[in-house]
Amino acid sequence: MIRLRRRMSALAIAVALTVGVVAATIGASSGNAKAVYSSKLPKTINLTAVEDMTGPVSYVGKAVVEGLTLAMDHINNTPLLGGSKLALTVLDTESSVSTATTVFSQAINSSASAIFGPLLSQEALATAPLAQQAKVVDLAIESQSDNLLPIGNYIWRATVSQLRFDNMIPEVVAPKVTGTKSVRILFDSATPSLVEADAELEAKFKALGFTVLPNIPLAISGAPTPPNWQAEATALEAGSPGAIGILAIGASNSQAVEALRNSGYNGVLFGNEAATDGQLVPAGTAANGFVYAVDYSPCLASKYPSSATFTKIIERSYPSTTPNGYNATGWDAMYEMATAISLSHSATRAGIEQGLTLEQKSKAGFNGTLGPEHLTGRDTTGPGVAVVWDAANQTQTCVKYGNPKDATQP
Amino acid sequence: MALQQLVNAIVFGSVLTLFALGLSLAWGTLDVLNLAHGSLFVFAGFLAYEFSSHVHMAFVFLVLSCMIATGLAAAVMELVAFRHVRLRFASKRQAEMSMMVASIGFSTMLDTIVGNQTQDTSFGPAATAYTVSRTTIGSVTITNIDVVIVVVTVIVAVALDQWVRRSRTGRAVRSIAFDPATSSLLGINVNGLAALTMFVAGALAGLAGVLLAVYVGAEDTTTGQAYLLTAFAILIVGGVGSVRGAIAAAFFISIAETAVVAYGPSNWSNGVAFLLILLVLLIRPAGLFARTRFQRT
Repeated sequence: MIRLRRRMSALAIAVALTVGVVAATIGASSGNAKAVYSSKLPKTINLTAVEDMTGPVSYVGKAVVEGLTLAMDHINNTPLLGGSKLALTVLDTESSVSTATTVFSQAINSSASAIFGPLLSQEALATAPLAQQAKVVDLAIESQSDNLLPIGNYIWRATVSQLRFDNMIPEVVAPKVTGTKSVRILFDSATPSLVEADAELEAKFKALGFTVLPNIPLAISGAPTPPNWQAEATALEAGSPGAIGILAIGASNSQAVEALRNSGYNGVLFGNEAATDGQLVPAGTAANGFVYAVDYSPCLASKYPSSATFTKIIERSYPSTTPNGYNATGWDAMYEMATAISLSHSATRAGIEQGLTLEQKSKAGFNGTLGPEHLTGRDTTGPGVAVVWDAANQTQTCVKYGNPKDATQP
Repeated sequence: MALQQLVNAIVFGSVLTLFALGLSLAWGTLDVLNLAHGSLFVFAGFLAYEFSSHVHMAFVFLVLSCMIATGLAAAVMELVAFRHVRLRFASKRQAEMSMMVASIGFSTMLDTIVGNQTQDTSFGPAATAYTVSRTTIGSVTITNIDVVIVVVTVIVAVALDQWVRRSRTGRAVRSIAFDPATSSLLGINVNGLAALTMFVAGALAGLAGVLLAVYVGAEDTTTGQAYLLTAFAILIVGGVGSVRGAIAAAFFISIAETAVVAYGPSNWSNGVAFLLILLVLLIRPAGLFARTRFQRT
């Protein structure tokens, strides 16, 4: 009972914060701070999440849906949408492009007012044109390809692209390199956002005076044969680079780290945000000191009050798990959607698109799970943070905070 | 670097061989194309993770307990589904297809169990389960788990080959695949031998699963799928049911892929390996070591 009361009081704090943020946003955009909802809204607003609930990134899909669901429950207990309630249907892409397009088409043909898009870039790029053609908002989650948003005005993104904060990684890695100032990167060539991340990181390392050894593209996602990680480790070590980057997804992160350490590599290892959410745990001490950058980390709680609030709510709701960036994205995505509905006073497909445009034009931004966030273009932006993995305590240590005033870290 | 990559290819080829042998046994002798083999393999890795996280036991006991568990799981598949399918269908091809579909069901069940227990994140045996240490000889670095994998593969491959080809039970098992009804009339305990064979096949998946979990450090529920597809290619190239063919094909694929990793762009490794497989099949459609003693119908 006491626990329930504590949870309810935390909920009340979150609700108060949210309503305040929404009111401030509306005030900035329309000059009518009191009109936070409309009686025109239907009793139930149907939303659909097309997410990877099974397959190699299902750990991401499940965490995103946890965040979406928790935020929806909170919103349904606030006056944000008046008497209207949000309802969420989850469809599984099975981490497959063909299944993603099939279930996405189902969502388009359903009563869904808007869709939360699939995680993998290749899925997102395949489904976004369907949303644009049907004129239904596709609020993309996690997929970070630069080619996604140009597809059209109905395509938005709730996840801060790692391309906006990955630039912090070389600055953290550089002082740790004791030997030759050289670097080599292995990246999953089947994941478009990681191909882009590789190009960005190589450019930044070059700018810092590093010699960039020829990269290693490796098709990991959906490959018909498992990678021979020990052979990849030998290829990565050629030329004795001072630092090695692993831009992979899922268990591949630990597998690559383990192979490199087993082959005797002692240099600095770095990666991408897919190394989060316990993916480095199986590598044990081999992964200690692994550098990567994320949009959300529990260590942000000491920096931003809004991150601290979200972190506490997630910890109370899911006591056995550590809050992660995927929970955060789900939470922020649902709030962005609800705020758009509230701003446009409409739950129609066109109305939600107009609402998101109003959110974007307000320029006031909002304090979300990542700290100060904005809708820049149709993209969510946030400061991000570079972290170092502490294998002994299985925690991330924040080592470099992004500048909230820069949408893309320099 | 070339010598190191050769060692890497040998170890990886051994891993592929270990994985493929169990699949080969079930398919080559019982006509069971068990698509749950990859899930049994991951299930063993999961059990190794669970056991080593909660109980401290010698590595050999950890491996044996996982092998027994996956062996029993495979035997249950035989008792619950495959046996009934085998008896009901007059057409072997129809029976084979039905057993394949049943195995997909078992695979999904096992993956769901492991996925729910691990939150679909990656997992690996505790560091205390097996301490990996490395030795450098000249320009080559080799770990103790590399040596274990190669030695175990050699022992298992020879033992399995001898069992299937030379022993009375091995021959009896092969007769079941050819004609279960006649085998039964000849006094062979068809049900018992089929269950035993599936147990051995499952135990081999378990052995490969635990050793691979230590070798690569981490697995998830999708790890088995890529190995399954590779093993399928290995069996086709090697000749279904041929232990020697499976070994040759596993090393052929491993060396081809490793050569591409060493001297070309890694993302061409799959393409080159499968192109070579295609070429082999054009020359020898029945596989490198196709059996001539009886015809699969």
